Amino acid sequence: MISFSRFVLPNGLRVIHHYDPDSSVVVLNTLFNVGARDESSDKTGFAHLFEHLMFGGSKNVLSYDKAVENAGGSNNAFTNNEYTNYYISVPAENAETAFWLESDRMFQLNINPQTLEVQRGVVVEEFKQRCHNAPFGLLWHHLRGLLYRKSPYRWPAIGEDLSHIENAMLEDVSAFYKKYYHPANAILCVAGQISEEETRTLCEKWYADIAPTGEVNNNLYISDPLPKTRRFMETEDPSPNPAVFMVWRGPAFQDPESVALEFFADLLGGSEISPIYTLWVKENLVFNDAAAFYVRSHNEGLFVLYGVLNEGETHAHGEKCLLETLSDAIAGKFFTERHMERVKNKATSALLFEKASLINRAQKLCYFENIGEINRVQDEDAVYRNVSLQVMLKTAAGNINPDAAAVLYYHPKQSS
Amino acid sequence: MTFRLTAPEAKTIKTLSFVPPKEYTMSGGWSLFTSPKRDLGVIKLLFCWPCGTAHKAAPTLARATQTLRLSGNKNLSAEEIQEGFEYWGAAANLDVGLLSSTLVLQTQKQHLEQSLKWLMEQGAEPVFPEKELSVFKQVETASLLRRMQTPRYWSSRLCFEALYGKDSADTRFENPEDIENLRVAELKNWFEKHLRFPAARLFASGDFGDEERAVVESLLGTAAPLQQPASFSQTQNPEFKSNIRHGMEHAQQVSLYMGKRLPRLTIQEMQTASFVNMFLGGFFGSRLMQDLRETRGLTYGIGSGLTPSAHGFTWYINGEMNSQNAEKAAVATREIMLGLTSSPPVGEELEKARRYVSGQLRAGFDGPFSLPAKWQFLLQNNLPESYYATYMDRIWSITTDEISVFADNYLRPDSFTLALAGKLS
Repeated sequence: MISFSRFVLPNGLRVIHHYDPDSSVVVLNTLFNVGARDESSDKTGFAHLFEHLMFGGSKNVLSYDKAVENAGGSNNAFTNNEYTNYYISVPAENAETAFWLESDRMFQLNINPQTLEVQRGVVVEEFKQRCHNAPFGLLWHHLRGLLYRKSPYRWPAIGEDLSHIENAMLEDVSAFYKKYYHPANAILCVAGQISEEETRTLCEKWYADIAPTGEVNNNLYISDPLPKTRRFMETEDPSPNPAVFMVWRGPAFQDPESVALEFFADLLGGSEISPIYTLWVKENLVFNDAAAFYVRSHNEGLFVLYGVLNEGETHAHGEKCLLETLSDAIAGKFFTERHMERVKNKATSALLFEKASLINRAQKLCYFENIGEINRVQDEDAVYRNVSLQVMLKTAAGNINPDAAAVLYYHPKQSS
Repeated sequence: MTFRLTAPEAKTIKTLSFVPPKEYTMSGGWSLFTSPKRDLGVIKLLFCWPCGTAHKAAPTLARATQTLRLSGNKNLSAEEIQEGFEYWGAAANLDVGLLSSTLVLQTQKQHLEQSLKWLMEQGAEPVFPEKELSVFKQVETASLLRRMQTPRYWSSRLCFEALYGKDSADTRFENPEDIENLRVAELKNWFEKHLRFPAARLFASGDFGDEERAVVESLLGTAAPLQQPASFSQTQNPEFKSNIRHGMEHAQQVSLYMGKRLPRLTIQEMQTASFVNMFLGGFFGSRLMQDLRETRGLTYGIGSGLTPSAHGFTWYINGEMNSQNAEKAAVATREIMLGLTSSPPVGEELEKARRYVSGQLRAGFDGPFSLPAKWQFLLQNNLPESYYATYMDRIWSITTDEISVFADNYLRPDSFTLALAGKLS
């Protein structure tokens, strides 16, 4: 149970308060309803670039980071396809500093050519570090590209192409800020050792005068029809191991079926006792790593199945092994009521450990508010408990068609 | 809106506010440290053995033994043992550091008895099946070969090998043949000598009170005397190398790694080193991050730190950047190191770091699971319970001159080894 209260300021800012007397800090978590799906196809990576610019100072705050550090606090942010999330944690006695900092950059961000130039350079290096220097670093570029044709979900949050970031202009950035970074398109969670009364007072003082500069994001996007047949691509990667990745689209976070698919993925390939791992890594030595997982998200989820091949194994054989086990699992060959109890107990434990962190609780509250169902934050475990073996298998059969996978083969890059 | 012009007063943090763990000696002789109980429904039990990869008889042996300690016994297979944990929603997470090995049992409070009983019964007499070792070799070799494709791997490895030599206790890098040469008998011996349950220290945190302590006490059995941390023979200093270059054809960036051996320091020196490191590259407001990332945009991230070694610490600096920026970054890094002696932090810079570090020091004790790692650090390094409180005092009492002198003693760039790996221009 996460206790909370909620109120809305006249400018549309939704505020959630969560009290934790055991904490010595106060966390302000701000979620803006804008992510990579809101970018145009020739300016991808923009939401993430903008996340960096949010630390460049604002009208009354010369240096955001210096002010956070001066208050003994810490901060960070992340961007995904659906939203952008910022958090700051400060000692409880310095809570008002966090209100000042977070509200001022919502009030009037200091967007200037110098900050843009520096952060473009930083983000370009981040792109190279994450995507070019890491094994399988462009995985999500390839998988999303296979699954989607027109939908803005076809590129990852880091951006489709480096040139989009390199060419970002000041006027684009300013327009992005005006459209999305205003109180009506944001959710603020104030959590920790701070009373509801003080939270209301500080919100009134620091946020009430910020006018909305745009509409609430309507979150309407072009969607692609589900693939009906196998889609395929192959590519090279500096990793020395060839690999097979497969992905399918699945139900959205709010749909209880997404939990059923998450459980199915966990049982199929979520640990070293799963059929995918025991059959193909431990017994038949086809792969040196193999797993399945389901990524739950607001619009729709992604079911991923993969294996990293051992020397001498072919991609076609690897794909056949994975699909054979997938089909057997959907047909009910592997899982029993004991498996269901196991996967539910694991999910409950993960949920309880996740909720032990104050920042996690604040982010969870913002997430559920953003999908319009904040009270369901209390029901997660009940949703887990309601998934039966029959429902799980039926959901898997209804959503994962082995003949309509998006399939990616990785080959080791040949030295020139 | 004029109120926005003035920053709210940010108060300084000069004290810590936490309840230290309680130490119990249980009937079987086990030493148990417990954090204050929190009503969460979950518990973490940390078992800690004072033995890690630095105590190795052969590379990878300590890691392989700890990783495979739950991979089968004379009655049950690895899968059956793992299934027993997962059925109760529990997990036994195994890890090995340079100086210690750990097992963290994560469990719901309502399943504490079942999951701990399972751990003690099934993990007491591992047999290290050949099949499991074979899979371990296959998986670990592939993983190592993937890591070997990254510039970061080679910059850090070449730097550490230059500092300590290839066969030293501090060189934590392994080769495929080290993995291939592992033998079941060696794992068994290692386990018997270092990793039996009664030889561990135990830390409990989360929703853990008297009732849970009674459950633990009833299941643990009799403890063996705690091992003293092993001592290491002093490694020979390899011939000092100031510059190492390693080209990688496919790489898109260059990884920069600088390192230096530090001797075992006094408590006050450790605290000073830790604080001086903050100015160098220990946080976002450090000189390295501000100059190389925020002013010049040369890198996504660059930082510095102190990592324990068998005989003291290694001071390191690490970051990734474009090949045309790498030499520029190396020159700038050296200038920043020298600058800590010639123009040490004063005024606003010193005050900001004090405020930041003291705030973070206190925040580090927040949360239900924060204490065990902090106490493990104290016990591992023979530090007094007052260490954190005296560090807070040190943050506020250290002078600019002390920082300058310390930087001059330990941070001269020509005493560091620089390794650049990746796409060299």
